[in-house]
Amino acid sequence: MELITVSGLTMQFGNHRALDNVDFTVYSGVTGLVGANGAGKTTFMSIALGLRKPTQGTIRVLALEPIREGAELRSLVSYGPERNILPDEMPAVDFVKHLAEVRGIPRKEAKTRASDVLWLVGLGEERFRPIGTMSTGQRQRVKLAQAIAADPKLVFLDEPTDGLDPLARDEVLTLIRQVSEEYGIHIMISSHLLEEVEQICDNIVVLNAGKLVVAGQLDQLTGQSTGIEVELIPIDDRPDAINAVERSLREAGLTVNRKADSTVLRIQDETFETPSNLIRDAVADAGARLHRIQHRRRSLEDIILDTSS
Amino acid sequence: MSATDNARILDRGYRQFDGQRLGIGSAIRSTAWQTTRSIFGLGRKARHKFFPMAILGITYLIVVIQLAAVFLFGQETAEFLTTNSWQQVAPGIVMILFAALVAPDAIVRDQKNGMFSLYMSTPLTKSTYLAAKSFSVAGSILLITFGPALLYLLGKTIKGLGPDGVGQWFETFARLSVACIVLSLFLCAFGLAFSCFTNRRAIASIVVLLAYLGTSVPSAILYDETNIGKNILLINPIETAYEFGARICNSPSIVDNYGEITTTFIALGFFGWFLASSLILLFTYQKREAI
Repeated sequence: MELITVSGLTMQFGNHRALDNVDFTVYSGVTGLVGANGAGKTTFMSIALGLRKPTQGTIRVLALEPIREGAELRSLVSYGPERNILPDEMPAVDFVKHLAEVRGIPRKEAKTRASDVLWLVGLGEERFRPIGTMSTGQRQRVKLAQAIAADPKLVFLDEPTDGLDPLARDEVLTLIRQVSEEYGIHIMISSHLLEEVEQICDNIVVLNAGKLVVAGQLDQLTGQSTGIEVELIPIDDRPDAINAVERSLREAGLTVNRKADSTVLRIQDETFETPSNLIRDAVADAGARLHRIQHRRRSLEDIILDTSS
Repeated sequence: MSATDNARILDRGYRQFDGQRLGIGSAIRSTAWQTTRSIFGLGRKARHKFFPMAILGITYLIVVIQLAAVFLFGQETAEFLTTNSWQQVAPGIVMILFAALVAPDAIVRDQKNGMFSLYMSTPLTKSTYLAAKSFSVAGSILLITFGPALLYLLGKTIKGLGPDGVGQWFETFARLSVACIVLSLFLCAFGLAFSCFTNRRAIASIVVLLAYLGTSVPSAILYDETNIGKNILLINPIETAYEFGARICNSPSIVDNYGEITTTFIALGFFGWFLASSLILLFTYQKREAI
């Protein structure tokens, strides 16, 4: 299902081009909008919400045109801002309820939904506490709660793990994944951390200085094997066993890369047809001990580096 | 009856919303109500309630004391105290103090705590957001303009000192309502226009007060010390608005020297300031980044 389609999108601020002729499509699930600070992530979100008119190009979000049908679109989508500043004196439940009402949920329904959603994000017991007394992690959860309370079809979360320690970050990411999987809410998160995007996203859009680096479904992008990785266990009384395996594989015509003294052999596989029996025989003949053998997949970092180069 | 007959599901958990979403009217209403709660410190600590409630209390207390005197001592006291209900509308300085208090609270806080960005991600637009804020601020100011005046009108009517006949009573009531609404809208636009340049509430309040002083003092000096003419008084926005209300109510001028200015010029001065304030507000927000 296509959620966002972008074609030739350009956003110019004076001499600075925040987005430069960007084309991509975002599909259902969790999408990571990745890029360094100033890459154009927040600018893209503001255009997608219909808050900024692009200089050139077209964008459709949930089959609506953000500028022309902005109010209608914003009743179907939600946004969680990057900043951690929220109304300090307001109890979390009032804050979530109020924004649900503004997004079109009737008052009574908004009240129950606010409580339910705060329970969902793990703040059930804390829901009557003023937001100002909450930790950064709890505030991030409140931001997520307000974003999903009105049952949107699509949520934009701007740096939802900003300022969190690794443990709290994992919890928030798990929560985002859970919201998407269990309640069918599509989510686009912006982040400058590749590992957190890899951890929970189905799709990625990578921007660099306003230009599109790569976009697509993460499975397809990382799923292509780039060869086989063979890890061997060093044996004290056969110190040459690993070298023998390497030599044998090379003699069989395979391209083998190995860092000095490493126990890992990386076999380049252009055809995806590396016969595993070749590896098995080489290991057996050398009397080596095998620890693992697996297809090597590209990481998000590999993809970005490849595309950039 | 089995034990399960009385069973209820207490935790319904998160679920999809299948009902009809309410439109922009509901978003404006909810935002206006939330703003009004914030202005009067409802649901917040006592210190947030103090100033708005104190001003509100003082304006009503003055009327209650006057009404008590009227009820105790009769017509002569009533005539000595005031001649009509418009004069029960709080003095300009109280008005501007109240506007300088509530207008920044309504919009400046949103800039500082990120609510403006969040509002802009909802069906609200900049125009509807400002409409919601204006409803709230004007409504709050109406409490100190229309409230005391209406109370005084009702008190005098009960005492038998009100306007003669039903027709005249309703005419007085209608004129008073229109004048108070117009004055409240004006103070709202003026207060919002001069408090939208900063994201610090105290500074915004000071800017509103300085805008008032910066127009009222020069207008008085120029009128007294030069021969420019009486219309120079129209550069004082608050007293012009006050005088405009008096003209609507057919009340004598409360502000010195304004009686000499024609109603046409008073109306032009009023609408000029109202338009200028509204344009400042709209233009500032039009340029403001939502996210």
